[in-house]
Amino acid sequence: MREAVRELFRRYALLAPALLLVAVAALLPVLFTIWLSFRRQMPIFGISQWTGLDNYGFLLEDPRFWNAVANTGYFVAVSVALETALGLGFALLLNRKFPGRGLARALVLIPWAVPSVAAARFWEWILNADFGLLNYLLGVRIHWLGDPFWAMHAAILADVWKSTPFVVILLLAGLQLMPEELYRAARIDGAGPWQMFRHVTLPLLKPFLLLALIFRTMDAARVFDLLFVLTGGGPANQTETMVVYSYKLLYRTLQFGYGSAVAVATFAFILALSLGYLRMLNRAWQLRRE
Amino acid sequence: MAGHLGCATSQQDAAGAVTLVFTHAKHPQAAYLTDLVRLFEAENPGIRVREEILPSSSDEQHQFYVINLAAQAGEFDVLDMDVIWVPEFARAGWVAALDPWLEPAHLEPLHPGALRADRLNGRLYGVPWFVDTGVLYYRRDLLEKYFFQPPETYPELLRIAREILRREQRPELAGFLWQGKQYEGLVCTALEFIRGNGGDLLRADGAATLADDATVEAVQFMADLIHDAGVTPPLVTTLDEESARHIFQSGRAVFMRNWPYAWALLNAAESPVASQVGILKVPHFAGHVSAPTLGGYHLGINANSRHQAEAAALLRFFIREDVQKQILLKLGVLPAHRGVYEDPAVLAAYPVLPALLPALERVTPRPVTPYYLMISQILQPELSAAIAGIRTPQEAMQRAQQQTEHLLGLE
Repeated sequence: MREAVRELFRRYALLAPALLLVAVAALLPVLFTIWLSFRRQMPIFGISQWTGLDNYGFLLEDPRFWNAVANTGYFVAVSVALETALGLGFALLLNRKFPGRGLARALVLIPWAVPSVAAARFWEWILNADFGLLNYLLGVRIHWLGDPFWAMHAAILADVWKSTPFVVILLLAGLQLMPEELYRAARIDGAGPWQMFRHVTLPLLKPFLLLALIFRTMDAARVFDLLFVLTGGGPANQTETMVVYSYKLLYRTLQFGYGSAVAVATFAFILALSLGYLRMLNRAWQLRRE
Repeated sequence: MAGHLGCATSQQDAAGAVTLVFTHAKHPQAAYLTDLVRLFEAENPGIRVREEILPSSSDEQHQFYVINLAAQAGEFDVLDMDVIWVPEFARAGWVAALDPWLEPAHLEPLHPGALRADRLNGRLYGVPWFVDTGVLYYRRDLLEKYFFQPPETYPELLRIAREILRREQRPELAGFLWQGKQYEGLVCTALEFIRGNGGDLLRADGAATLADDATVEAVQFMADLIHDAGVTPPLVTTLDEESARHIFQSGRAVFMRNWPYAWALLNAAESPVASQVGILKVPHFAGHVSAPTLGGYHLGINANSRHQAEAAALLRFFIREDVQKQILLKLGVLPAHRGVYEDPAVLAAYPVLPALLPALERVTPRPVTPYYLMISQILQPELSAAIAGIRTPQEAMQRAQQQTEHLLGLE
């Protein structure tokens, strides 16, 4: 008994440095932000006071916040859906044997390797209404980044280009783990390519799809650099997401209290999304094991 | 130096010299700036200066200062501020009042419009070392071709642009370009329309006047340039300074609102419009005067600096006429000292200077209030909505007014 306690103690003692690191690096800033969100904190005016839920009360009535929530939701839904669909297509393609496959796999990864800000910069050129490549190729004159409707979709296009490779890698890894005998069995049973995809590939790939969805959703929900560089949230805040809004509050106008409340709301939004996904993922892994 | 003998800090070397830390934005001609700093050291044997260079992005500089100044850090003595941060830092008590250190004789030769940005509640918190002003560029060749005089007012500009577009019959030609992207530059541009119509963002007593008739009319005029007159192309909602300059420089616009930096680029040897461009002060509406927006950088002293007297010496050095002249000749930015604009040697090197003087004489700072950055954040999306046609200017400015009133009630 005593030996067991000592063993337990030793385990936690060994874990302690890692836990401490996580607490200091991740937990403390989160707690500090939550604490700030209950305060009115405006260093310029020397204001620093506890205001309880005031910031959250204002948040509920702040049209700019709800506009940012709607923009974030739209950005996440459309970009993640497109990235998953395209990513699945590319992964299936790259999983087949064809000459030059190694090169193709390497090429697909390039956009993922480009830093977001650099990607945003050259998309800014591609999307330029006046001399941009996209308008030239399409033979149109659309003001991609200046038109209230197109700006968000142009940003989604840039994000899809940048992030689809990530989905491809994850799904390709999943496809490589597929047991070949299942396909052989399905072929013996007379399954066509669509039936094999529908009844063998897709169910087995589900956990990987969900994993890709979780990562992409969380990433897309906190999109910042891409939009900040491409549009700065404009025109007329049509591309202002929650993180862009909280950045402006915190760093442009130094409203640390309210800016933190928006940041905490963003955190809650992403947490809720990920918890939903995690439940789905757990169920999918269980099914796969069975 | 006797006072410092007792406290041998790391900022003093063995010889007892004080080391000032001068934090400033990264400058394209950094080596020349360092030359000036060395000159200051040669003139002031008791003071050494260490430069600390911040990234060239104004956002990142602001972030650096806010984080360090809010933490009461005294590690830097002299700081380089975008003109719109001065009242903010002053209100926060982060920069020292300079009145004890500067005589009227030091300030009198500086452009008064630039200095106005440094005064809050009657005290001085910064000195301009680079100034910038909104200016109007126009295609001299096109105006001459149709016998037009350069415009003084916005309605004249509109009439000329419309007429030239009609006669030239070139679909790619734009009448009037300005900064219409949702960012600070849009506020700078809009202020020139608003103040050129007798309006403003705040009244002298500090109350918001964003939805006043003069203001709304001016914003309406901006929207009409795009949607009614067709003189400004809809792509203006994506334009910042550089993208506007690219179009103008390729010969596809008659007028452009921009800053003086564009002059040298427009007249570079490979520029298609070289020596066909004229420069004017920004227009206004009938019965009012031109009010170009002030830009530029100002020097201030960290309120927590332990070497304020030495820091003030560095400030006085940078606004001295001969140093200001080097700032123009070597760094290529506009100095704040008016004497430089009359110097024959300078005029020979920069023949455009006399054309900039009318703008510099009228240059007007953005509202000098610690709230400015917040008001600008409210204004940017609303102005953007008004010119993109999402809301009527009346509606957009009404919304901006309400949000600003809420903000001003927070203090």
